[in-house]
Amino acid sequence: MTVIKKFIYAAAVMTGLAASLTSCDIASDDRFILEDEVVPQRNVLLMDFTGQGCINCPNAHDVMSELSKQYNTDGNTNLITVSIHAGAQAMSVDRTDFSANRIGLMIAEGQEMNDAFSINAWPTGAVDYINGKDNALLYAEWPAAVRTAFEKPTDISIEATATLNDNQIEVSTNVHSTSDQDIALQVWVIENGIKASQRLPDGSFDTEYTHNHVLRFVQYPVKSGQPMQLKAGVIGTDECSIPLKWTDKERWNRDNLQIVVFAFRGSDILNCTIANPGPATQPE
Amino acid sequence: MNLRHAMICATAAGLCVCAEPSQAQNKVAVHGSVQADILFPEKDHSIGAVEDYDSPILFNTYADVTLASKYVDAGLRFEFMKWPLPGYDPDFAGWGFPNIYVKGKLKGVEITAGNFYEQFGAGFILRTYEDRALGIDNSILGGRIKVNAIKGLSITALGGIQRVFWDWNRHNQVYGANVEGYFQDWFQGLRDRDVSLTAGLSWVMKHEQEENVTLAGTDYRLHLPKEVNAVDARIGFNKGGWNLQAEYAWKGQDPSFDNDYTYNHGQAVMLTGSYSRKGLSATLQAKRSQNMSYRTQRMRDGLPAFINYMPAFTYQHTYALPAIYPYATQYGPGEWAFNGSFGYTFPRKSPLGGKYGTSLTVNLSYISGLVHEGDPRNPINGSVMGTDGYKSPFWKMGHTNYWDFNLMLEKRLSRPVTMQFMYMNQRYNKKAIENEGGNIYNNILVLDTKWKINRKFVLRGEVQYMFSHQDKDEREFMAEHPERDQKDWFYGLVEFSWTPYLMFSASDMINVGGTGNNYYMFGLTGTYRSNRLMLSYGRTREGFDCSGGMCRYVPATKGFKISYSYNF
Repeated sequence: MTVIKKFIYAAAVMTGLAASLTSCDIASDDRFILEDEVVPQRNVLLMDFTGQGCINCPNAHDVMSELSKQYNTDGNTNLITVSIHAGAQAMSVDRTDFSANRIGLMIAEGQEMNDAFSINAWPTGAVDYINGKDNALLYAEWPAAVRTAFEKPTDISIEATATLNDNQIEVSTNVHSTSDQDIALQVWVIENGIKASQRLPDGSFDTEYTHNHVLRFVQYPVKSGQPMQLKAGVIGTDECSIPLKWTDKERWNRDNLQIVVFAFRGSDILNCTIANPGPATQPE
Repeated sequence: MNLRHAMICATAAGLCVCAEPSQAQNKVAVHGSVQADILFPEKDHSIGAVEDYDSPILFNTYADVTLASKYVDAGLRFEFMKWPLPGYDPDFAGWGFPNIYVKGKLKGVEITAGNFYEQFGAGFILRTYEDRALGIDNSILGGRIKVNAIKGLSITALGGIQRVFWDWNRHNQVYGANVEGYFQDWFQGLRDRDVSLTAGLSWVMKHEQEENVTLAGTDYRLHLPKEVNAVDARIGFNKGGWNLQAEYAWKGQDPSFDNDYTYNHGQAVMLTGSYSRKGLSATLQAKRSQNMSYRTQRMRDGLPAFINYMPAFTYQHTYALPAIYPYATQYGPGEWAFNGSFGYTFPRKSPLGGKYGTSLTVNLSYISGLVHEGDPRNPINGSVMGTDGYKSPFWKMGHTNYWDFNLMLEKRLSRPVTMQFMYMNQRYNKKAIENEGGNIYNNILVLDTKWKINRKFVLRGEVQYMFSHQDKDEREFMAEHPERDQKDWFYGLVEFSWTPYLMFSASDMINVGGTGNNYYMFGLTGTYRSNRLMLSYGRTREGFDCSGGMCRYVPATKGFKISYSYNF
C-alpha cells in the first residue's frame, strides 16, 4: 500500500472513530441518579467565604439556601451556614458609612481565616473544616461534601444557650465526649437580614440585598480557640459574655443575631450547634 | 521502592556513569540548568502587601540535568518550592523530583518513558508544557511512541497520568494519538513549486473517575462520563512568503465546574493567513471557541489541570503600562477572537525611512464573548446543571471582552541612538475578564530611547503614560474600592549597562490618577559566562502575570529579590 493510501486509510479510520464518539453521549433522561436520603449523625458547619463585590457569590448564597431548606426541617438546625466576608472583593467594616448607606461586612478575623485557608478566589467554602489549606471547596462541591459530613460519626455533642441581658449576650456551652480528649472551642456571632450592597451575576449592584448568617464576631483566637480538656462522660462547660455592638462602623440588630458554637481539633470540626439569644432562626 | 524512585536512581546512575561535558558525536553530552528566584518579603500597608507568610524567605528553585546521546536521552528535574513566591495556587507548594524521563531513539522511532510534554496542532485538544512564571507544569507521566520512519508521515501515540502540582492521580488519565502528513514529501510537483502542504488528525481521551456532584437541595447526583473524547483536524499551506492554516476541534460531553456541569459539546475553529518578505509582514487570524475547557479534574478552576490550550489572540506586551490589563482567554464561556498585524520597514534614505530606515508595526486584536440563548433548567432543582446548556448561534457575537490597537515605530536617530515609540488604544472588560467592575478605556504612550555610548556602555530610558477613563459600572466599583489603584498611570525607567557584564536599572510606576502609590524598583544584574545574577529591591503592584492568554493573580509585594540562573 502506498504511503498516501496508508494516510487516507488512517484518516478514514480516525474520522469514523470520531463520528462514533457522539454515541458515547449521556442522554438527557439518564443524567440524574437518586441517592439514598441522608440521616444526619451530627450537625455540620458550612462556611462560605464571600464578598459584596463578588459577582458569583450570590450563586453560592443560593446553594446555601437550598441546602438549608433540605436539611433544616421540623425545627431542627442540622446544617449551620455562615457567610464570612473576606478577600479582595469584600468590604471592610472600617469603610462603613451609615450616612452614605454604605455598610461593610468584613471583619479582621474573617480575613484571618481566609488567609489560613489560602483562599484567593471567591466564593469558596469549607465543610466541617477550619483554617485548613487543603480543605477549601468550590460551591458546586458543597452539596456532596455536606452529605458526606452528615454521615461522619462523632463522639462529641454540644449544647449551647444564649441570653440577651442589657447589652450583653451571655453564652453558656456544655460539651460532652465519650472519650478523653483535648479540643478547642469557638464561639461566633452571626447576623441575619442585613441590608447592604451586593454585586449580582449580571454585573449590577443591589444596594438592598439581604445578607444572612454573616459572621460578625469571633470570641476566641481564630487559630487556637478556647482549649478544653474533656473526660469521658464528664460535661465540659464554657461561659462567655459578648457585648452587643452599636458604633459608627458596626450596628447589630439584636433581634437577628444567632450564636454558633463549635468544637474543633486541628483543622477538623468535631461538632457544632446554634443558639438564638433573641427571636431569630436560621433563615433559608 | 516504587516506580518513580526506581526511575530516579536509574537515571542518576546513568548520568554518573556515562556523563562527560562534551559534544563529541559518539559521546554523551550533559546539559542542565539551575534557576532560583528568592524574595525576602516586607509588609507595606500602603500598597496592600499585608499577607503573613509561613517563612521569612520565599523561593522557587529548579535544577535540571539532561543526558543526550545518539540512542538514549535521559533527564531529571528537582524542584523546591516549599515556601513559594506569592500568588501561586496553594497546591503549588512542595518539593521533589516531578520530572524524570528516559528516551530511546533508533531509526526514526522514539520511545519515551517517564514525564514528557506534547502538543497536537495548535493545542486545542492537547498541549502539555511548563511555564514557571505561571506555575504551570501539566506534563504527562507515562509512555509515548513517535514514528518518523515513514517518509512524509509522522505518528504519535501516548498515554499516562497528568501532573497536577504534586499530585499524580491514577484516576486522571490521558491518552492520545496524532497523525501528520507532509504531502510535499510524496509529490515532486509540490517540491518543484516550493510548496509545503500538511494535514494532521488527532484524538485525545481523558479518563476521570466519577465524582459525586450532587444537585443542591436534592438527593440527586449527576451521572458523569468517565471518558471524554476530543478530536482535531488541521491543514496547512506554505509557499514562499504565504502561509495559510485552518484547524477544527471537537470535544464530547464534559460536565465540569467551568461550564456549570452542562452536557453540550465543545468546538473550536481557527483560520490563520500570513505573508512575509523582506521588509514587510502581514497576519490575519480568526478563532471561535465554545466550551473548550478540557481538564483532567472537572472540579477545578484557575490554571491547574488543563489538558489543552487555546492560543491567545492578543499582542503580548512587554512594556509596563500596556501590560497592566492583559487579556485572559475565556475557556468555558467561549469567545470570538480576531487578530491582525502589519509590519513594514521604510528603506534607508527614503523620505519616510530617513538615513537609517524606519520600522512600523501595527497590531489590532478584538475579542468578544458569545451570545447565550435559552433558559435551560433541569427538572430536579431548576438549575442549569445536567442540561445541554445555552445555545450559542455560531455567527453571533456578544459583548466586547477586549480590544487593543497599537502602533509602534522604531527608528535609528543617529549611529548610536535608537528610538521606539508606541501608541496603544485599549478597551478592557473587567467584568467579563475578572468578574468585577465594568469597562476601562485606555490610551497609552510609550517612548523608549537607547544610546550606545561606546562599545562597552549603553544607556536606555523609557517614559510611559496611560490616560484612562471608565464606564459607569467601573466608576461605581472604584468608588467602592478607593484603596485600589485605578485611572491614570505614569512609568519611568533608566537603565545603564556595561555590556555584557553589568546592568543597573531604576524605575518607578506611579498611580497618578488614583491612590498616588509609587512602585519603585532598583535592580543590578550581573552576567558572567553562563551565570546570571539579578539583585533588586522595591515594590510590585498587585495584578496579573500573563503568558499566552493564561493569567495568574499576583498580590502586591515589597522586598529584596534575588534571581539566579546557570546553564551548562
